[in-house]
Amino acid sequence: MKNICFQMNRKAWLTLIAVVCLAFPALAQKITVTGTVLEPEGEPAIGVSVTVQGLQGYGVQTDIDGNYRIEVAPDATLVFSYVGYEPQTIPVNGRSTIDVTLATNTELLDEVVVVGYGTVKKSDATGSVAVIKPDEIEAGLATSANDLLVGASPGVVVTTDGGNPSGGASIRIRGGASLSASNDPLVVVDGVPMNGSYGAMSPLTMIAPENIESMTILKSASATAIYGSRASNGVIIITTKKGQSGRPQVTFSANFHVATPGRTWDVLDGAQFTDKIKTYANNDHALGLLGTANTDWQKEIYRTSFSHDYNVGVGGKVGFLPYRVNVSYSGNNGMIKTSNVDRTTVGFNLSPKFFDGLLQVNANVKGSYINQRNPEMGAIYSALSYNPTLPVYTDYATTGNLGAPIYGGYTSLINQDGNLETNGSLNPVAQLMGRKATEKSWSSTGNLQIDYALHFLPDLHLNLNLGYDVIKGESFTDVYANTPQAWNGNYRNGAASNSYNWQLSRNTMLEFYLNYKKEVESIKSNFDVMAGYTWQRFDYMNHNYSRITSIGYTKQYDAAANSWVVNEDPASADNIGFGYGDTEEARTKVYRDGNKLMLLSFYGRFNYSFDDTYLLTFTLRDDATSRFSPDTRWGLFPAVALGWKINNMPFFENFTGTWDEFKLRAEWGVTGQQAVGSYNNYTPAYSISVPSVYYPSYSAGIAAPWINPLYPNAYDENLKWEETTTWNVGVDMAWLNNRIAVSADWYRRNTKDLLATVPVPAGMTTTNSMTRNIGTLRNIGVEFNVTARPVVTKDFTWTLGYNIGWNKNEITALTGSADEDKTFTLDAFGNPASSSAGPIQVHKVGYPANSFYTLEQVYGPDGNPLEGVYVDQNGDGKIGNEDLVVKHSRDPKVTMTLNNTFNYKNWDFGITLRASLGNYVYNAMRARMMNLSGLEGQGNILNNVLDSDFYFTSATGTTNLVRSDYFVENASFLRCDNITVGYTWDNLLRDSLRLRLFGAVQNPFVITKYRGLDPEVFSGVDNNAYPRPVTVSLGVVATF
Amino acid sequence: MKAINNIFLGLTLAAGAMTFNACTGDLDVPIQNPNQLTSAEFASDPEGYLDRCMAEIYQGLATAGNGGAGSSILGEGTGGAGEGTFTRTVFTLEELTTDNFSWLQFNDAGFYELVTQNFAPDNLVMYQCYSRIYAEISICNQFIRTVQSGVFNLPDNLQERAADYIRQAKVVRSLCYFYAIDLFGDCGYIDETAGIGSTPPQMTRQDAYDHAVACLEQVSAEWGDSYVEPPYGYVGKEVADALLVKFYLNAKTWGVDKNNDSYQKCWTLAQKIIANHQGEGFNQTGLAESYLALFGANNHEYASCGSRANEIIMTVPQDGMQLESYGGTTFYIAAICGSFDGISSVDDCNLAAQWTCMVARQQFSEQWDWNADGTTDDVRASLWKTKKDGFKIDNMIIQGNSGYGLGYAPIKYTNFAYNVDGTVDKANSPDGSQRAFCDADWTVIRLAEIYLSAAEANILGGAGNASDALIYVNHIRARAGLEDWTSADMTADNILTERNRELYGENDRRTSLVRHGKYAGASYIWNWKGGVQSGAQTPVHMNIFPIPTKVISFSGYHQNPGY
Repeated sequence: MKNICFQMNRKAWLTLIAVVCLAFPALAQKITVTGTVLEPEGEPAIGVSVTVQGLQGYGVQTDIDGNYRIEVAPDATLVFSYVGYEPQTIPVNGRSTIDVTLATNTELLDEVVVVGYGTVKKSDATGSVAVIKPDEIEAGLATSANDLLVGASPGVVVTTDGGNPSGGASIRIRGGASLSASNDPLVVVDGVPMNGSYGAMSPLTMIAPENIESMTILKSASATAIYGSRASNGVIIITTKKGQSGRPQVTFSANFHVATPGRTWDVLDGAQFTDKIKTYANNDHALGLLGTANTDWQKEIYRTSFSHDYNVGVGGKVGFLPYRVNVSYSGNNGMIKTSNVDRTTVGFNLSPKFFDGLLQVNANVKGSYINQRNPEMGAIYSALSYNPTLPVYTDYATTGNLGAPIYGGYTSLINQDGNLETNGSLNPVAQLMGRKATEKSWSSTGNLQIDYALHFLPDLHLNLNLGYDVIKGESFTDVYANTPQAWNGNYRNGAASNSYNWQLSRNTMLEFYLNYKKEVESIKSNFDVMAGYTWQRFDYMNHNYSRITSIGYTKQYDAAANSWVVNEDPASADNIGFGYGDTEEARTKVYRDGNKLMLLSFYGRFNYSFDDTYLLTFTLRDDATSRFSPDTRWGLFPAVALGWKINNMPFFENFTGTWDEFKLRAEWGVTGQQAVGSYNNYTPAYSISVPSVYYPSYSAGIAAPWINPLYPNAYDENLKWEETTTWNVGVDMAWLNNRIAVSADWYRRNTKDLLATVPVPAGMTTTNSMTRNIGTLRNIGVEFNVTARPVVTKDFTWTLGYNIGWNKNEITALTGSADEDKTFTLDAFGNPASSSAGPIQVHKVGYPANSFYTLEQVYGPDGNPLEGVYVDQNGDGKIGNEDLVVKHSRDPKVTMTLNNTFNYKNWDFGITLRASLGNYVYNAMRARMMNLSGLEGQGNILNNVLDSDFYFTSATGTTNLVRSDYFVENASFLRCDNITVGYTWDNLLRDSLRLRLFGAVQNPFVITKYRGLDPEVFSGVDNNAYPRPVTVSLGVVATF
Repeated sequence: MKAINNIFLGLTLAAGAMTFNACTGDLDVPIQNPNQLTSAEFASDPEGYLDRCMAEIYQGLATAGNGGAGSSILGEGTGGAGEGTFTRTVFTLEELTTDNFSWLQFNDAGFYELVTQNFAPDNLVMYQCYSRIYAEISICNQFIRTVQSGVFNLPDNLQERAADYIRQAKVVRSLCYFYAIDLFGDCGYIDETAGIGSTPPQMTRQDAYDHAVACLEQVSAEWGDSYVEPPYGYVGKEVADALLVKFYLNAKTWGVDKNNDSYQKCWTLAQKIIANHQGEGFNQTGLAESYLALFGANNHEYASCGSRANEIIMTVPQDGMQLESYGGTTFYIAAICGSFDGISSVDDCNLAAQWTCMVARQQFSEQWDWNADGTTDDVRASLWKTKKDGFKIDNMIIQGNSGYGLGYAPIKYTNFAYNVDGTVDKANSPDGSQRAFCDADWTVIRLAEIYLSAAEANILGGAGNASDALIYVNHIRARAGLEDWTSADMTADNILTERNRELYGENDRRTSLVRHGKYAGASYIWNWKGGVQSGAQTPVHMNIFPIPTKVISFSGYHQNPGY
């Protein structure tokens, strides 16, 4: 691993040196220019760098009196730059004296932040917002926009799905506000609030990272309230790059990645395994299942993968029409053999203005196509547990017209009748190679936004936004003939089969708002009033079928000779084209599914600032969802925020110049949540039975036709909005021309009428659990963020960003049970190590949501667990569910990120460290693989175990064993997300080419006590996790 | 196009006066899911929808959910979907907790406690059973309410069918209450008169019994005096009466026999049912000619409207293609079969599903008269895998997975078609190697049980006359290929064993053991009872299961004594 990294860098070096030598420009005749540089207040500016445009690495600095002296060509152009000030570019024009007065760089303070339905200057923002502007390296390393959010802001916890190239991720902003309802933040792309994830697509995987201009994270209530109904869990607003004025500018980037699994599990090898079987399962049956091979199954399913991506963007202006087009492609190979994701995205943007800018039109269309092959994820666990003494392939003696060994020659567990043993998993390699599951997704999102400022009243804007978001997906799963899967299929005759799924998800939106901005200087007041309406429709539909695609076989097995006769079965030709269990009716009617959801909103916002010092924001939103009954479907969500820019107070003038910003913020607001259960929970509806569960009709005789019964679904007319009330207090400060900027926030979020799927009294309805409003939840947190440039010299700059967030999640009430007592727990996550061992995570009053629910393990003097011995909490002499205790939760208590960027001349070097404290993970792999009594499995199965100094041995009481807190491990970690090195040529080819080359290692190390492969497991249960890779990347970015 | 229309509509509305009401009309989204419908459609085809709603009641007994065999209508704490199938979840409590069957996988959560009779209220398997019973009760209530609401807009010619359906729903509901009262004692009771969404009040066992029996008696009376065969897969008066026989037989044991006449009622009603069947089948008894054929792929021929002797009074239909289920007969066969135990499900049961997780316990195996070579003359155990196949009779080390042939394999249901004489009809059998789901129907109540219940009512309660009782038992024994009993053989112990040999696996064993005082406690010990291999006594309060914790906590019930 380290070697590859080193070689890559050396290659990069060589390329670099070659390019630098070639591009070094010749020097011409020179004159001497001198002058003085002053600060805006008239003081001499010390250390201002004076460089020559287009002349790399050549320049001087002003001395203590602000004077400089430089030799340049008479037609050169000087650039004066100083941290915190606007750079100034001045042509020499043969002059020998040039004096300069610097102008304050207002960019940082005047940075415009995109918030809901409008923008606001960051200095005027009253809510808690964070802005991410990914640079080229960040964009190049990111597989998807999810990666850009990792560690970007305190309180934002992003857990990516290991090395899975599909790039899924779970994002939690300030802890989850809900239990069963969605905890995903709302994603808004160029003004279109997106659907949630659908199939392979999530809003954040559809957009090429290179194409993102900025991402705004709205965390607190007043900021999010304007998105009301879907904003309880925060909002991520993505703005893509737009065309700029001037000649076409082309950006090209290419990135190459090599990924290897960081670690694999240490399981017994063939010899060790044989040894264990002979000791712990020494019977003829078990011994008979041992082979002589030594197969490392993990090695057989993993690989070192190579991925690459390319992005081209062209932006400019043709006549009055600014445009930007971008195309990107990424070919991402996963580490599990057969896994692969190819993604192509295109984006097109036009942003013309008419009538002197009174009418602004912004049109966006984005499309993406993803073609991926999904591996059978079950192979991950199979590769751990599969008998290591078996070879990957066996040349089974097979005669007949099959013409190949039965079971595709994959070593399989075979019963006395020559059939496959079905109790355990199939050969892990066969699981991957025996099928091909491809998924193709097309998606498009776009909008037309028209903003019109009235001719006669330019302060009043009318804004109309029409948007859509469509995702279509198709998946095909082919099971190849004569593979173990095919022999294990419904017909059990080795025939190939195909299953197909088609799905479409749409979201259309109309929003209209009026915005009136007025500055009334006489009363030092600024007004910004907005009122609007949004109509959104979501619908989806899907259908699927499965079909037999080849002829099947008959097989005869000769147990004595261990050989098969396998011949084509002419009768099975009738099956081709049909699914198993198809009736005539089902053949013409494939299963379909679909539904529709409507959301309507009226909203308004009132921004007021007095004397650029006192800020007020008031937001009110009235939302309705078709998910709830007419009586409960409307929710009213208000928010108020106050800001005080102390730095603009008269008494603060003494500090001006050193203390740039000092702002206090305070806010309160309510947001709603309705994303739970199905699209209609209040109407009594009947589910129609699918063809394989029909029933004879009510007519005499056996030959009666079969009919599809109607199941009366449970429903709840009283289901209503879940509401989250947020308080937030924050402060923003900046000093030394913004060389140091600090912000801190405290928040408290109370959620009431929590939507959750919970048990209901037996006999009350036709099932035993329903979605109901059941309780309250509280999140309290503190966030702190600092960005600084501790060292700024002519050649060297150190930029540092550090953020830390602390969040405490606690369930404060659970209703719905008859006694509503404090002992009451709600199941959150079943125990994966034993399907019905009860929940391993529960919700309980006084504890965080998704807390672990375990027996306290008792340990022996050697530090190992005493098998079957747990703390008898109630002292009744036996161990049962009453002895379970609630302890630890999956969510981190503290998360931290440290970003460092060092710029030396044209070099840059970056390192990102991220830490998470107090997150716990149930190590299901250890729970499943540390018990020697499981060596001999159900049926003809031998299961491998972990290579460990300590094992459990008892077959009874494993129900308790898998609930031992021994398996709940502290998964706090410090991870190095990436180390990057880059070099930039600013002015190549006569100032027309900017070239940047970088290399990076992602995830080079992680420090943790957790004993699994990786401590970052979103669900808190480590089961079948896709290993997180160590990735070496090389990227190039060219701008011309 | 519609989307565009909507956009323009929305545009007009928004840009205009934002007329509130017009906008909000969009919010009334009808059910769009093509797999769902609402009762608004019922009036368009009253007969079709009425039939389909009724069929759901029966399907609820056969499968776990209506989205296929792997789906379940239960959402909470149900383990694998198939485990929550009605017949299977009842089997788990009625058969696995007795001397009949044991579960090889002691580490399947909740099962060890069941197998060793160590019941606790938080056992998930019990909660699953309770939930399934009450979900089915709810489906029945919902159906009756829906019909009574008039939403079907039934024409006159369907009024009688609707009335009959309501009676059927009440009979199926009574079956549920039979298990609820038997297993859980003071259980919840709710019928169609309660409001939608109300929590069933907990009743004493006596009150629940009185309600259930009164309902059955009334329904039976409504059906008139004579038995009319209902269509295949449906119930009629005879099932109502057969269920009453079950209730009456157990009334004394349950302590609900207020008038001390239940055994007599049991006898009388049983006689009526027996009389209805006389004249066909084995020796004109109404029993099927062959025991084995009752449990084969074509056993629907013995059910109502079948072409053979209709011994199967109530059946839960199953079909390998049309009505797939991981419960019922598929469960029974697959649980026993597995080549690890030397039973190939395809060869021995004609079904390609094998799970290797259930065996007969030693004490059950010893209830048969085995010849020295491991065969038996008793037809009912003739398919068993025994000593002759290399199986051990005991289950000394059934914990977990190790060992081979731990206990005899009690094959009973198969997926072979049978001729009337009990020989396998290969030609008409399904191709078992390609069947993952069984075609044989699950038998809920058979005429044989009625014969035995009558005999038992005589032995335990002195009802009827002893000579008829002896004849009844000897019909059963004769069909099994056994010698007749004399009146001296008519003891309580003997009838309990004979009943088990006839009805094993048919969800009756626990109930019968309790009736004879041999379930919990010390009077009868079998291996693994009490948690030790040789068996040990258990507290007598285990005769009734605890009310599951989640039921206590969500319904506010009191717990059964002892837990």
